[in-house]
Amino acid sequence: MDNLLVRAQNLSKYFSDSNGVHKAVDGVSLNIHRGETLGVVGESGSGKTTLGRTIMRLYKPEHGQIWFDGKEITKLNDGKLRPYRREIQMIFQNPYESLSPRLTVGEILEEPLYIQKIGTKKERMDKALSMLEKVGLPRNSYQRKIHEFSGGQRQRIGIARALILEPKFVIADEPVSALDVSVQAQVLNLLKDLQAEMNLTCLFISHDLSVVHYMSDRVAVMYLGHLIELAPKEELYRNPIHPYTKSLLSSIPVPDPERRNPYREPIILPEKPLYPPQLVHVGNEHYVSANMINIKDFEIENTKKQISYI
Amino acid sequence: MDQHILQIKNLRVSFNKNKQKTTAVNDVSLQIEKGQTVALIGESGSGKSITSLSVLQLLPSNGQVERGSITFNGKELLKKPEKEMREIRGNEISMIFQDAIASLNPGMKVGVQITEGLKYHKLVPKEELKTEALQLLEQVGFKNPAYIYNQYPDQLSGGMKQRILIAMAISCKPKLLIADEPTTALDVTIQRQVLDLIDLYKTDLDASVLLITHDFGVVAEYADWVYVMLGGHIVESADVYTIFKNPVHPYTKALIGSIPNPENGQERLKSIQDYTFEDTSYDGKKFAPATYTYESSSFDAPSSLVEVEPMHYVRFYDDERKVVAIG
Ligand SMILES: Nc1ncnc2c1ncn2[C@@H]1O[C@H](COP(=O)(O)OP(=O)(O)OP(=O)(O)O)[C@@H](O)[C@H]1O
Ligand SMILES: Nc1ncnc2c1ncn2[C@@H]1O[C@H](COP(=O)(O)OP(=O)(O)OP(=O)(O)O)[C@@H](O)[C@H]1O
Ligand SMILES: [Mg+2]
Ligand SMILES: [Mg+2]
Repeated sequence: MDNLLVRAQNLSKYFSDSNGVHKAVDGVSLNIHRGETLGVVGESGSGKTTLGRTIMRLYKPEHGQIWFDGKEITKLNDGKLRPYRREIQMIFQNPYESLSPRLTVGEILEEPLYIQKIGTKKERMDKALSMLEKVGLPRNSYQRKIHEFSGGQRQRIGIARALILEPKFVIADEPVSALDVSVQAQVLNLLKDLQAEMNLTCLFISHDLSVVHYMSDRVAVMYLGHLIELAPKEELYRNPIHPYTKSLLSSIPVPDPERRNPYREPIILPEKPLYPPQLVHVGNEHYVSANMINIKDFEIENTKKQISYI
Repeated sequence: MDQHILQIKNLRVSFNKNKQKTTAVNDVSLQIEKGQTVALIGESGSGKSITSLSVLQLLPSNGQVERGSITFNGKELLKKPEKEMREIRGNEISMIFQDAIASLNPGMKVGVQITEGLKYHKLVPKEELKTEALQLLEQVGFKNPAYIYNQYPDQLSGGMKQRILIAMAISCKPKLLIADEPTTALDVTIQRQVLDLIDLYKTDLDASVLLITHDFGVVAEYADWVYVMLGGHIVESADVYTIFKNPVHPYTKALIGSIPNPENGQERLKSIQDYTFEDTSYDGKKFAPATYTYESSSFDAPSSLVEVEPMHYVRFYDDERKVVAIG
């Protein structure tokens, strides 16, 4: 079996308005392996959400191709996409906005099963109750409505809903950004447990680099619609190459007052290059946008000049 | 000897809601020295904003200060009439409000907006307002002040708007700057720029900052002194080094333990549930509150701050025998 679950090649998504065309995602290529979590970081507006939505085909890309589980899904129409809607799920930032206030938690959880015509009424209810247990909520949550729950509990419900169809692939878009730190840790731990238990592949989007580091195996950095750096997390955090990645990492507040650094260099962010950068392999599964580096600086014999799409 | 620029003593604030009175802030004492950055940290709803709004007498209309005192440079603020408070607000004490980005006037050029305070307090002659605005814009890091001057808020990014708010807040050179979650919606690079700006202002003017946040990483980077708030009370306070090295209250421990830190390769984050409040004690004293869940934590018996080591305070119940059958 192919080790890749998701493959995107040269993917672009544009939005246009009165000011012209805005390249929200521009020439992005990446692979996601089965069972791995790929973290996506980048500043607000860099195209993280758009990338996620394009990969799951909520948007139709302007250019490029997407494969899921070995099959190309770039041009499939809604009907043909239907089975994929079951296998790819999304967890949203704001569980309150994405969950209907009028339905009970039971109805919210059973809705995806109903839409996909799965199981009898009784089976759907059993499934919903077992999901509640999985995410650590009491059974009596089933009859209650969403406004009776705290932020962390709501996000548990959002997670239960996303996972009830037993998807292969989950896109979590800033799943803990709206939560207090004291609650954030619980939800992150829960996501990690469920991921291992259900063997999920995950695209984890966040602008919090510490959170991404905790959750991911590899990390991709977006900047102005481009994918500019990608590496296993330890490698990326130890050895960032692109100036934007460097400035991101040096900006993480270090939770240790002894190590405070008042003489930090000011942040200078690079301009957007005219063309989508090519990713170049610089060793250790580390890829960096070629517009930004002089490949000769890296004494890596075999990979010199070799352009790779990972 | 008394260098305190702001001193809050035993503040209690309550709200009338549906004919019921609820206490939002209780027995809060806090002081800020000249040149200091003091952090107020705690979860959502713990009373951080209400405490700071009390200082400026800007509580929501259904809220009132029930007891306590707030002095600024030795003078009682709570007794001052509205007219005198107006002279202080924005001028001597200025505040960057939580979610203030939304309060920028969409129909007014940002360059004009940032000098509203100067105009109101008549600190600069009219014809110099624009020069002053351009200087302020430069001070908060804009490379092209003349261009930014003419922009409207919607034409700027979140980080740029936050810098406009800082320019506005520092325009009258206040001696105390209260910043209520000034970076919550921003990403790390912008967050750092904004906090560095506030820090620079403080150093240059020997001013003081009350920094409200729920991010202990930010506290570690910028604060001198820390107050931890929970359920309307201060539950622990100490200088920043002590708080990180020797947190005593289980809630403080939980907050510090739940920060993901890329440097120590945690396999698992600690969460608040990993800390027990019940049945733990310190030196024979029972922590207040004795129970904690995110939904509720209640102080059900009289409690006070106890000095556990020099200049390090933790909240305990006054009388242990009263602590029975909680939760
Ligand atoms: N539906 C849309 N219509 C028009 N423009 C859009 C749309 N969605 C996104 N954009 C634009 O595309 C760019 C990328 O947006 P996107 O939401 O993907 O960024 P992001 O990295 O997820 O940011 P954030 O961290 O703020 O969520 C932005 O400039 C945004 O304004
Ligand atoms: N206008 C109001 N009427 C009634 N209760 C209020 C009002 N404003 C605030 N409260 C209550 O006062 C308490 C403290 O609120 P406050 O805004 O100070 O919290 P906070 O610590 O700033 O939280 P956050 O981190 O979410 O900003 C909360 O329980 C809140 O519900
Ligand atoms: Mg987004
Ligand atoms: Mg607040």
